[in-house]
Amino acid sequence: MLKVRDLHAAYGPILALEGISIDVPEGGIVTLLGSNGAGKTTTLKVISGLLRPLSGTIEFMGKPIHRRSAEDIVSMGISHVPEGRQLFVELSVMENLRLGAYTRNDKAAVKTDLERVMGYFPILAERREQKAGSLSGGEQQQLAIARALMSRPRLLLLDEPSLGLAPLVVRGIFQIIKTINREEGVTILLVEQDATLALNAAAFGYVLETGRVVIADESARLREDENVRRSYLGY
Amino acid sequence: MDLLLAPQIWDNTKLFLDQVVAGVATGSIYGLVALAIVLIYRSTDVINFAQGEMALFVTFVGWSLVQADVDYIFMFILVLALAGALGAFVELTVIRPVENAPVLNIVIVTLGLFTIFNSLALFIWGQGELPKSFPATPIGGELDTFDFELFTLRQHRFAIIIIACGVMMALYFLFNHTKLGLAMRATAHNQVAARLMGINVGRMLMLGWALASMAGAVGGMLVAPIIFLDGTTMFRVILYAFAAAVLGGLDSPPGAIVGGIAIGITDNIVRTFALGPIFIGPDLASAAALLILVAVLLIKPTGLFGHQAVRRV
Repeated sequence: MLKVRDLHAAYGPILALEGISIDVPEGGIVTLLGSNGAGKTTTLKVISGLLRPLSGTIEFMGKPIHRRSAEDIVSMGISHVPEGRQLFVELSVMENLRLGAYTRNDKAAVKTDLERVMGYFPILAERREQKAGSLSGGEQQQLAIARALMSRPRLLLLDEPSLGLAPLVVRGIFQIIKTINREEGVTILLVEQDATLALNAAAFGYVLETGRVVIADESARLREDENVRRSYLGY
Repeated sequence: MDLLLAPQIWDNTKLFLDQVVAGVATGSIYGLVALAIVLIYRSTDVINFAQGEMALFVTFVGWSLVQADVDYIFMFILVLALAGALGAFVELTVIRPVENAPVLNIVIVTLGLFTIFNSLALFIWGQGELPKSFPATPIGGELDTFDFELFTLRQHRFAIIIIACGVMMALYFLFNHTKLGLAMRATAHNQVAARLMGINVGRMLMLGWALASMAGAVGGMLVAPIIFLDGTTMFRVILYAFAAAVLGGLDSPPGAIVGGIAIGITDNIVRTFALGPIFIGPDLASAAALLILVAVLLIKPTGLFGHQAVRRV
């Protein structure tokens, strides 16, 4: 579904990606592991069009997207839950969700989707008129994911959904991520610091180091890998 | 007028009410221009010093249309359309290239625009007689009055209040009840997130400038019948509009209007009345109005309706 080939990207003079190649099969969950600065977040940013690549190609459903704008890429079916969530903190929960459906013109379906998404995250229904900025961290993360689902994506890019949240809250969110993948058939590319969590959710993983893929394997095998265990799983 | 002639504020209720209502009207004009400043500040963090001069320029175009016997309403619509196009054009060609420049550079750029539009207007329309008179709206003339039990109001002032209300309601509807308005607000709050929602951020900013320019143009066309059209027409308007915008909180559209009206009323009262032995009079009226601004900001630095600016670092 998503084919990334030899991707290079930089922030000004600082090279962040030095030839990343990854594949995400339709319907699957794939994770990118690695320490800070390895290039995980940058990879997602380039895929969603927030950052222009220097070179390399990205194909989504057979179409090249690496020269498309972020706006176009959303309407093609890729939704990005970015680092730091990037909610509209001054706007209400409901307005955030409506903005998630900005690219869609099917009003009636948007309405049913609002209800469906709030079914996954009942707390959002309760807080629908509240400002997004007034929600707790866990609620904000739920809103960020819910908002991303409102565009009816085929591929969801998730950047560190566990960041800054209590373990119990994280478990709930990962449950929902798996449910969304299973029941809605949304393909997921997951960036996560917590490798244990990530490898539990994903079937396949890539380990990134300084802008390069150093290991690519099935999650079960990665869990057994000596280097991965020492560096990322901590046992 | 000296102290002996200046009426005491408690002696003359009718004159007091006259001045308050007239202050609401002129204050609405400051409010409209302040609204333009706020719309741009909210979405692009730019203080557009050229707001008044852009309005002046298109109002002069309106004057030419009136000379060519164009009907007032049709002229009004044409000027609005031109103002919108001008705002969009300025955003696209002048502001966007300096978007990421330091704030001071952008300030200088808008000051440059101020000079350009002012000189251009004088170059084109300054050959003949100045100041030029500009017609009031079909609602009523500047010299005709409506006489009510409690107060007397010039008809044009009444028109100003009606039109300002109309503009505010239209903007309120746009921002709170349409998808486009929601997208514009989203863009103002968080551009990265807006892009991720599929919103064309550049287009929203351009539209914001267009709307602001239109609000300013309405202010220009409404003030021109009162103080006539020349190179300095908008100077006091823009000064008061900035004060109104800051008083309202700089990021709050309703705040801009309330600020404008507050300043309009204060200015009128101060210029007309004496309070006991104190009579300030027209010369220092502007200073008195702005003194109130300073006082408010000392007590509430974010203005009446402003939000605390939270910057994540």
